[in-house]
Amino acid sequence: MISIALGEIATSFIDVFSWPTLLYILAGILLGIVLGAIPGIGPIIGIAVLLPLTASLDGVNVMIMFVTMYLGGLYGGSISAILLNAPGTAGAAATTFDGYPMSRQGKAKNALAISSVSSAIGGILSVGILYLLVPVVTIIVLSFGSPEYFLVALLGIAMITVVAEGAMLKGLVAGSFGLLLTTIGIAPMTANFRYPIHPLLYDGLSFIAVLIGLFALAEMFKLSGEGGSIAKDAEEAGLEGSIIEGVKTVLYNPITTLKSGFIGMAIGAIPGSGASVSNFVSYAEAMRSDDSKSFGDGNPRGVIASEASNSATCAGSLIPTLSFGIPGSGTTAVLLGALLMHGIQPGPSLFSSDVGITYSFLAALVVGNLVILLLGVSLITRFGVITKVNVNYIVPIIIVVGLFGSLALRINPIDVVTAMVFGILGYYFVKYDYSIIALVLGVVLGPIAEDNLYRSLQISDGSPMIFVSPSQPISLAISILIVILLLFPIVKPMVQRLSGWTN
Amino acid sequence: MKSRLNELNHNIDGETILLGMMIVVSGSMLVTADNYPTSAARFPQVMSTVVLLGGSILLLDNLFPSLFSISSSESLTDVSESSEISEKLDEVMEEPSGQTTSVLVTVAGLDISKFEVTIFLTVLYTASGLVIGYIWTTPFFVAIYSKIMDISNRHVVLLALLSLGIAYVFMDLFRLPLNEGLMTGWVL
Repeated sequence: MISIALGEIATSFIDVFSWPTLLYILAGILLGIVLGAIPGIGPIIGIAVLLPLTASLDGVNVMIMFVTMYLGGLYGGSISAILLNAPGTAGAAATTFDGYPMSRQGKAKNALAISSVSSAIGGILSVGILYLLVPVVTIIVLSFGSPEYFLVALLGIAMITVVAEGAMLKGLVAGSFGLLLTTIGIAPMTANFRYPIHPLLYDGLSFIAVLIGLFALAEMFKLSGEGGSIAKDAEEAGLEGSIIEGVKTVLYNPITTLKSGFIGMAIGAIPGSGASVSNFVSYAEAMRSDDSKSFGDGNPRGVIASEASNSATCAGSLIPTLSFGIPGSGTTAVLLGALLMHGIQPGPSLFSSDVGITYSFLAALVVGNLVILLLGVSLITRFGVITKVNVNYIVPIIIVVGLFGSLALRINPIDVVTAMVFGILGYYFVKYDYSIIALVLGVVLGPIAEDNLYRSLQISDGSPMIFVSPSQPISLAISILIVILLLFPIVKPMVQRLSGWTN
Repeated sequence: MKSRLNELNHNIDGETILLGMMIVVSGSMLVTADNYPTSAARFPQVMSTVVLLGGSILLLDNLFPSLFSISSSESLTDVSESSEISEKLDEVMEEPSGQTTSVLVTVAGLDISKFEVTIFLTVLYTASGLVIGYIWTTPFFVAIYSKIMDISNRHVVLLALLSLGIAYVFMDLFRLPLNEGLMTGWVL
């Protein structure tokens, strides 16, 4: 068993070092760094826009490019955070606390080197843990049937509604609205054309167009409202300092690096809480375990904590995405859409017959982290220019490419309208704190959830008891977990009030 | 009664419209689902009921916040640190991030928010492209947007040419009928 796994791992490394896979990795990392370094853009927009254009390419290589693009984006976000005090991505927000003060103190190169080295170490550490977890995940995933998959889809939405910021009810409504919209078009089991608003909707809404609308267009609308260059008010710091000193700083702080990497990995594995949460938690933990009062004034450990954790989140978020089809963050929601578009079904096959694909993603992450290390240390001084791009140049081009991309997959004019409508809808969802990830998850998981619900009810002759029957312990456990998750925010204040009275 | 009406008037905003839209859509989908066989109707009926009920509660909360109080801050992600760390985190997070919310551009003597301009132009571009073909409308959309956003004339021309190039690439490489619209035979 172990020798087979080791053989698969060795093969995956041979694959990722072969042509053209290595090119996809390099392209993914470079694109990710560039998109991540431009404040407000981020890798999610790049993946959403490129997604329909990759339909004719090899699915595994494309997924490797997207996964490394995600990783590159997480690192790229630190460049503008350090140089301009404007995080390129939400995952690098905590990097500004000490990264920018370091730049102002003439240690910009130190901070950038710390960022690349700690990102690489955190990222590789998390992939290492993931390799160890694969056999455990395999056992769990292989014991799942239709009822479990239906419930896991609901669990994903329930977790995101609870974990995501904002009201739980808003998240629940958003997720259910996404699930509802997937029922437009031909029904999976009876061939009825449901909601025949227009004949072009026979095959339903294109989830790629929905993803482009929600992530690319909505973000462009938001950016345009924020003005020209996002970082225009930020005072730019010079590129001074020492790369060698920065590298040494990380090596002299192994505990902070490893602990932050572990925190990032664990938080990434919780659906709905990606790098935007993990970097703050790691930063808080670094502050808690350090007597120094210099956090916020240029403490290198602050940069290490934030960067090691956000890179580790990438591998962590792949666990629920690949095993159960539940994304850990907005970017992994788009990655899930990419997996489905390329015919790679998340679930048992990725941990049994197709485990080689899973190992290839992990090997690509290891190589991607090494590329980040090399690029970060050798080309640091060249990256500053990326952060100065005026977003007014980018907005119209991304809108154009996004709309064309939504059209490219099915050449159905309704997809352009879908992308635009969801772009506007996404803007208002973000504005009023409705979970956009819950909506996306609903749209992506809708057909899978309905199909598994239908199969489950067929097995049980129409009885919903199959989901709570003691003879199906996994289903029962997931059902209980969903109820606990949904009731927790309601019950918690009641318990607190009761304990307050008794005290 | 009068105070309730005042409260209602005061609280109607974009979220009210968003929730109203979701309630109308889910309500009509719930009613229409009755026409389908049970196996095809079950899933949309359950989901539209959840949206309808949840959306209605949120709408009432939005319109009459003094009557309803739905907690919007309950979250499992609350990090329970010591108060000292919380204070320090709050302190460092108060640093200006460089993000701005500048909003206005002047179009024909009127101050309009950049967001509204972008939405208006995108809707116009999407609709006109469907009617006459995107290859013709794309450079105009990019040029008008860039000009409104105060980009120099030279860069406006370069961006318009770039967008035309992108349109050609999509037309040639991905076989998109961008030179066609409803007026030239594309069927919608």
